[in-house]
Amino acid sequence: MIEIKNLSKYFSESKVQSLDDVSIDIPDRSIVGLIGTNGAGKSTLLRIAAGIYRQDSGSVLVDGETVYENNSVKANISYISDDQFYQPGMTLKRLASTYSSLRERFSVKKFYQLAERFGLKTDVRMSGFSKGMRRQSDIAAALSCGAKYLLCDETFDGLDPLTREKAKRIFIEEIMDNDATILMSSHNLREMEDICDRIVLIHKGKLVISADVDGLRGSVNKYQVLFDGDSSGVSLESLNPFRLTSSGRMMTFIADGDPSEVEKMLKVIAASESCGLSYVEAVPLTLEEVFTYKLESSGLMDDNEKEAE
Amino acid sequence: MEYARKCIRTAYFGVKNNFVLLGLFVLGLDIIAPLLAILQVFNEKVHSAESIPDMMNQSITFISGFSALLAGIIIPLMLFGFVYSRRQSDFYNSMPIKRGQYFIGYSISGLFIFTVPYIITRIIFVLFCSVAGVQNVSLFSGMWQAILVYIIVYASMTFAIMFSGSGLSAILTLALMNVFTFVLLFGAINLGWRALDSSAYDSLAFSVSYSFMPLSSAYFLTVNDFAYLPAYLILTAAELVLAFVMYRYRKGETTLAVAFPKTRYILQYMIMFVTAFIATCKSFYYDNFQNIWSNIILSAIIIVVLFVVLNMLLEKDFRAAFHKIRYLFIFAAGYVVVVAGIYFVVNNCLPYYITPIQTDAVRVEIIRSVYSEDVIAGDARKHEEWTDENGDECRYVRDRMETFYITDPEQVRYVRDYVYKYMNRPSVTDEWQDLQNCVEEHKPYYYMHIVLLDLKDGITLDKDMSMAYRESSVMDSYYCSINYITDTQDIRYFHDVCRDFTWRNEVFNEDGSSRIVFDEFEY
Repeated sequence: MIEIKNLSKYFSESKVQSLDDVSIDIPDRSIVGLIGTNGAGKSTLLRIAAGIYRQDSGSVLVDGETVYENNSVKANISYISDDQFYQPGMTLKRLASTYSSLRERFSVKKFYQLAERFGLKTDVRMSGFSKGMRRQSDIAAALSCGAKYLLCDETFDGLDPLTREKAKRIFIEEIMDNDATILMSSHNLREMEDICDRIVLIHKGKLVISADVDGLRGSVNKYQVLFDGDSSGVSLESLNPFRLTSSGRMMTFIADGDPSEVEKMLKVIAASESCGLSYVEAVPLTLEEVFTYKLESSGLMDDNEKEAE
Repeated sequence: MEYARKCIRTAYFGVKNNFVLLGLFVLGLDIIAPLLAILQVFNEKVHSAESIPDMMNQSITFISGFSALLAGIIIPLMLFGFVYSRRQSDFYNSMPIKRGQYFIGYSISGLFIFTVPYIITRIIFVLFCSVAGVQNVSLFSGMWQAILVYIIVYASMTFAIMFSGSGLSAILTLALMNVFTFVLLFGAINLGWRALDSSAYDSLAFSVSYSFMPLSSAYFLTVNDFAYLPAYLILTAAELVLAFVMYRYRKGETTLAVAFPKTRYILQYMIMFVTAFIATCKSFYYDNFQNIWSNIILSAIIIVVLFVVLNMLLEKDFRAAFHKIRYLFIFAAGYVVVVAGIYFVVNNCLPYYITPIQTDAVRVEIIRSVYSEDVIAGDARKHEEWTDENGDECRYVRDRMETFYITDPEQVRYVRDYVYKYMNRPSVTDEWQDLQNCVEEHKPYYYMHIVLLDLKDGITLDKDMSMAYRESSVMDSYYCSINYITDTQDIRYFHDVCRDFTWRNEVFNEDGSSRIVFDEFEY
């Protein structure tokens, strides 16, 4: 299990608080997606979890041990950068040789098997590979390290659907066969929605949401409510509504919580306002809409971002 | 054991990863160096009285020293250059290898990459010599010196790499490390040349500077001068430890020109200080403050230009040229204070004349150089040539005009101080101009040797004795300073002042040796 507690990181060079008191738990045998806009702090978090950077405060524990400068823990972590380093003239054979020199548990046989599954040629220079092929090489190398934890930084971004499907299958096999745990970052929520079973949303270095995908989907809904009378005097404060609009008898708003509970509360409110309730409809939001709601309602979105939305 | 095993494994990876570098050193050292050494010897043998094997040994030793110097700079850059690239840093730091293991492992790689080709070079060199008919060429002569030079320079370069954020700033740091002490000491001496006996301080300054200049080890160790070796070894150990600590705590995410942002200003202002200080002191030394305004303007221009250029280089941004300009004014004010402090305060507080010896007697030589159209055959010591602007050769004869000894300690001190404090001391430019004028106008010029003698215990100058100059049976050590005099008035005045001193005159024998005859001498 990866336990991230109160993690903070400040870059003095660029004067940016990249991470601010972030706490996340990554359970074993799960695929966790780390979502956020550019500059949210995703890559920084992954680099700290991989033992590349040292945090300013907080802790990252992998199976109860700190990561930084801990070889036994890092041997169990495999990190795929968003911009992986390759030496000039490197081929997959040489990549395998490099990894096997630096990682004792690296399996050259497994690497070649995965390369074959991805349809990659081992003698061709990687400088001639497309972006997707390089990503596949990275995945093959990472999965051959014999590591229990895979940290992937925007690894799936830019992959075509077929390749993404292939990679997803391989990841799931890895989880089933080797009890792997995967933490991957992306700024593309739709791609993560398919692959991950848990999503963590980070915005400007702060943690916004950490929840299961299925749980998130039904947690926030858009409601259309039709009252029997004029709705302008009706107060829905107890529901903590968001983006509330009122027009004649119709009210629309977004609210957190179970739809049946919300409907019960609406009936109570209507009764107390002596205004009958004709119709209530709850429309589930997409995950993107849920995240936007969470960001806006928590005050983490600035005016430019709201305007963009 | 596990730690050591990982270091060895990393070392193996370092060699495998830098195979091209290894190949270049094999090519350069194993093939080119022996050929160069042999060609050099065959080219020079007609002019030298040394034996061919000796010349071969010297040649390969010299070339090896140079190769070791180059290797000490290039190899660390190749091995540790990954710290300058975020992608490479991320890749290597994500591996289950501690930074200390990278440091030690790569250091072992570097030693292997230099040493193995070097040893093969020596074997090939001996084989080449055998084929060329030259026997008795040593396999091991100079070998350990070359390896030591490599380690010393490697330590400095590694320190510079870990301190800096780019290859360029690493080279700048290495250059600064090697010139800083030299410039500071010699600059200060040049600045205080009127107040100090510069030649006395020069020799001390050289000794101190060379101890802090790792690159100079390439020369001294190659010529078997081990006087500075203890200092080099201590400095090497300190640099390696500091480099290790800096690498351990270096932030992997830096992209600045220096790895530790707060040290960036130290680097910048040290470079500015060193460069401006050289210019100020040399300008003063040559002009003797006759053109003080040009001195000030020159120094100011250098400071401003360096401030702008270094800002751009170290921030890696052209727009940073005038960032933190208030620091420039603070630096300029501090610079004026430092220079004035050295000139007016420090130099006056230092002993005028420092020598490492106990002075028992002073030997004064006044030597006159006179233009002569006669070519003095045979005795090269008395004959010198000078080519003027028209390309005409002027031949000079040196006469040892007067040589005498002073043994009274009070009088010794007086003579010493008098010569340097009270006699005419023109600026260096004027001095050389005077000399050139004398040559061109065929006028004699003089120079005076003041030689301080530290006699061996039990040796005095109270009786007649044979004593050749620098004879080690008579003296423990000596110190000699030279003062050029183009005005004979100075010589007469010198004698007039010292009229009441007791002089011992020296008489030369026909065979060139000398003996002291203790007659009273009056000028």
